Order: sequence, then structure tokens, then C-alpha cells
Amino acid sequence: MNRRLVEVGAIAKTFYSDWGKVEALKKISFCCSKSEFVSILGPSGCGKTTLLRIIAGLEEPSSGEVLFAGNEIKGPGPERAVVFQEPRLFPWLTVEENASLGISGKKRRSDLEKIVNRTLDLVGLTPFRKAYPHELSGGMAQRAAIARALAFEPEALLLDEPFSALDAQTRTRLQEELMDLWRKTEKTIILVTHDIEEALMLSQRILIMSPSPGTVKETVEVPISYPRRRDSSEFIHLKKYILGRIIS
Amino acid sequence: MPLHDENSRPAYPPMLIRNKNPNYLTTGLKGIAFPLFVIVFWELASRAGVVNAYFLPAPSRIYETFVDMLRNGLLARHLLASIVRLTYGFLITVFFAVPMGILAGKTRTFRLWVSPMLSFLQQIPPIAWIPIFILWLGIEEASKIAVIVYASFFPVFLNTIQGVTSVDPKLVETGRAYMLSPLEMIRKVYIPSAMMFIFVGLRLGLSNCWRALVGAELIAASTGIGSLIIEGRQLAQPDKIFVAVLTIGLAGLCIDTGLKYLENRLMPWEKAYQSGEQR
Ligand SMILES: Nc1ncnc2c1ncn2[C@@H]1O[C@H](COP(=O)(O)OP(=O)(O)OP(=O)(O)O)[C@@H](O)[C@H]1O
Ligand SMILES: [Mg+2]
Repeated sequence: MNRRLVEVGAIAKTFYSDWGKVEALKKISFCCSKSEFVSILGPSGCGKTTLLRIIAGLEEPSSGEVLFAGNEIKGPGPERAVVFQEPRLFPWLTVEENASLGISGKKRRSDLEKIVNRTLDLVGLTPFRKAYPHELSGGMAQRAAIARALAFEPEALLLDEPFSALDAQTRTRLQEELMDLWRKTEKTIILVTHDIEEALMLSQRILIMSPSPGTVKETVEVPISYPRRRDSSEFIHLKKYILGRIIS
Repeated sequence: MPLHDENSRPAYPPMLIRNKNPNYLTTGLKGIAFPLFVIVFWELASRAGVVNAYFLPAPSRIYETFVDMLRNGLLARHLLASIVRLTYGFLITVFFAVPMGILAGKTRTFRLWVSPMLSFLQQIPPIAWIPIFILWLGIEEASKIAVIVYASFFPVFLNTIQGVTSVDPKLVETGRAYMLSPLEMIRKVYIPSAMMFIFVGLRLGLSNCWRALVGAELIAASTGIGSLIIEGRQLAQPDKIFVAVLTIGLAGLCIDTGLKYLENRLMPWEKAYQSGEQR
């Protein structure tokens, strides 16, 4: 259980642009064991997306390194799948083609169909499998993007505020689905969010980030057993605590 | 109170959404009503003797000539001659302009060296080159095809460049994140996103072609729809001229409609994408 899967070692990231430089991340270190659910919580602009992109292998850190199962991450890999902050569906592919983007050339046809059916069903897009992205609502598009990541069948899911564009009901439902999925498949999940309740409901550990430069201010363990309730006293207590830490 | 239940699955199938395009019948009727009105008015004016039939023959007279020319095959022969030229010229354009556009879009040096000259050439209307083309290529088919190629080259070439350079980097990155092979990347990212622009270029190019061709045939040709106009003038048959002019418009419309149809069939996503509703 305590095997280290993702190891982020003292990474920093500085962006240089025409108007100056931005220290997006500074000295970030943390570990994430196999099958762990970790949330990264922080205000807008504190470098959450940048951190996730580095773990995804889409961006290189200015210094430091990230290991996945002991190997340095040099680029994207089949063991990690990203859900971006925007859906980023391919406009010329239908929902099912988008969902099977990462596996279409790599799996047998019957397996492919099975996986896509299952994931589309999970996100509730089966009636829309033949629709094009422009025929979807914003939340449906985001669900299609989640289906794409699930169908990729990675060891670790990297989620960048995947539910922030959804209405409260759909969000709650998808959070429950994610919980279910995590407990069934024991995937490692890193979830970026700015929603304290979402982090508390889902994750075992919360990294609280603070901005300019982006650093991990504190790591909070969430010892509440699943399934969690928003109105339990432990939940409310921890929520107050985190809120206080963010504001101070 | 919840707006919809927990397992909010939409009750309507996707097809319902896609079928909301306007009723073709009513829009078609509206489009035809105005020309119909003009024709009726024109016919009445002719019958009343308000206009000189030599300058402006009555629609009924033009229609008779049209039927005549259809019967004796004159119209078909000339129209076919024009369309054959158009096809050759346009295929040559596509053959050169699309690959060159891809090359130019992919390599900055090529753009730097060539694009100023192309911008200059683009300003010159194809008709202006006709005498030179005739001098170089003779009065036969080659010079006319050269005009067509010239007329359609720029829209196709420039739109291809645009298509290649404007591929959404976010989609490229998504492809990278999901481990697409280089081949898949070309097939699923680059070609579809460039294709919309290329198609716009093709449509523009083809309508440019058609206009330039008729111009070329007006200047020097013994066949083709443009030469029919000259023939009508020389024989003092204005009804013939009108038949030719109207045929040019109709054929142009048919070509464009055909391409548009093809475009919609090939790229059903395109409209929403272009209006910025990209997801
Ligand atoms: N490609 C880039 N070039 C320059 N600066 C960048 C780039 N990407 C991010 N930044 C900067 O890095 C900082 C962190 O950005 P990031 O997108 O990681 O924030 P975030 O925590 O995800 O915010 P949000 O919650 O709003 O999505 C910002 O100040 C941003 O301006
Ligand atoms: Mg972000």
C-alpha cells in the first residue's frame, strides 16, 4: 500500500514572457503512493495546472525532477491520463471516437467497444455517442473528456478541476462515480480543485497551495472513513480548519 | 427543488438536435420569389412595348432561344467545353497549390522567401495576363487553362497555409498526452483541422476560376460559354447573349452548391467550429 508511485522532488517552474518572469512553482515536493487519492487545493493562479502538467509530462520543470514508479518522467505515458481544465474534444470526432482517442489504434476491436461502452455509460453519454462535440452542452463535453481519460485505462488519473463547469447535481453524481471507480479499480488519483468540500469528500490527503510563488503550504491528512458525509462533525471541523489555513 | 433527477439522462435522442436546420422549402421559396417577380415585371414591360426588344429581349423570347439551343445541342457543346477546361485547370491547381501550401505552412523559410512575391502577384487580376499567356502558350487550350490555374491558385494556396498554421496547439497537446503516433497525429489532428480551411480555399478558387475562364473565352476562343456571348454579339442576337449570361450564373451556382453540399457531408462539425463554438 505504501509503495511510492509519484515522487515530486523539489521542482520549480519559472515562465519567462515579454513582460517579465513568473515564478509559477517553487520548491514543491510531495509523494503519492499507489492507489492514493490526493487533492491539490489552492486559489486561482497558484500553479495547480502547471504542477499537474509537469506530472503529466507535458511541461518540463525548470529544476527538480518527477519520478513515476521510480523512473523519471520525460513525457506523456500510457500510465497517466489527463483531464484538462477545458474539455479539449476533437471537433471532427464523435463522442465515442473522442472517448477512444487514446486506445483506438492499440486495442482489439471488441475490447475497444467494450471499454468505450462502459466508460460512456459511466459518464451518462451513451445516448450521445454519435453526437459531435458542438452538439453537446459544456458539462456533457467535460464528461466526454472524463470518459476519454477513463478509457485510456491509466494507473494514475490526473484531473484538473474536472467538475468545475458542471451543475451541483451532476457534479455530486460524478464525484460519487469517481469515488466508486477509485475504490473498484484502486487507481491513483491526483485531483486539482479549488473546492474545499470536493477535496474533503474525495481525497485521503490534501495539499494546500499558496500563490506567488506557488508552494505547498501545508499537507492535511483526511482521516474520515468513506463514504463521507458533508454534515458530519469531523467534516465540518476539517473544513473550518482548512478554510482558516487558506485565509491566513 | 431539483431541475432534473439525479440520473439526469436526456430524454431526447441526439438526432433531434441535429435536425433543427431550417425548412428548405420555405427558404427556397423565399429565394425564388424575388427573381420571379422581376421576370414577371420584365415580361409585362416587354409586352407593353416599354423596352426595345433589341436591347432587352422579353423573358419568353429568351426562354424560346434557350430551348432551341438546348435542342440543337449548341448550349451543351459550349458549356461542356468550358467545364472541361475548368476541370483540367482546377485539378492542376489542387495538385500544386495544396502541397505547396502545406510546405509553406510548415517551413518558415519558404514563407519568407516566397510570400512577398505571391502577395504582389495576387494583386493582378487573371484577365490581365491573358494576352501574355496567349503569346507564350498559343491561342489554344493551354492559355485558357493557365488563366484558370492562375485565378484559383491563390485562394487554395493561401487557405492551405492558413489551415496548416492554425492547428489548435491545445489539440496537438491533447494528442501528445494520449500518446498518438505521428501518423495518427496527422490523420486525426492536422488533416481535419487544415481541411476546413482548404475547403474554403477550394470553393473560393473554383468560383474565381469560373469567372476568369469566361473572361478568357470572351477574349479568344471558338468554343466555350464565353465565346457564345461573342457569337451572339457578332450575329446581333441579344437573346443568345442573355441565354449565355444566365447559364454562366446558373452553372456557377450549381458548382458552388455542389461543393457546399460535399463540404457539409465531409465535415458535419464545421459550422459550429467556425462560429467559435469549439469545445
Ligand atoms: N505557458 C505559460 N506562460 C507564462 N506563464 C504561465 C504559463 N502557464 C502558466 N503561467 C503562469 O503561471 C501561474 C500559474 O498558472 P496555473 O495555470 O498553473 O494556475 P492555476 O492554479 O491552475 O489557476 P486556475 O485555478 O485559475 O486554473 C500563473 O501566474 C500564470 O500566469
Ligand atoms: Mg488551472
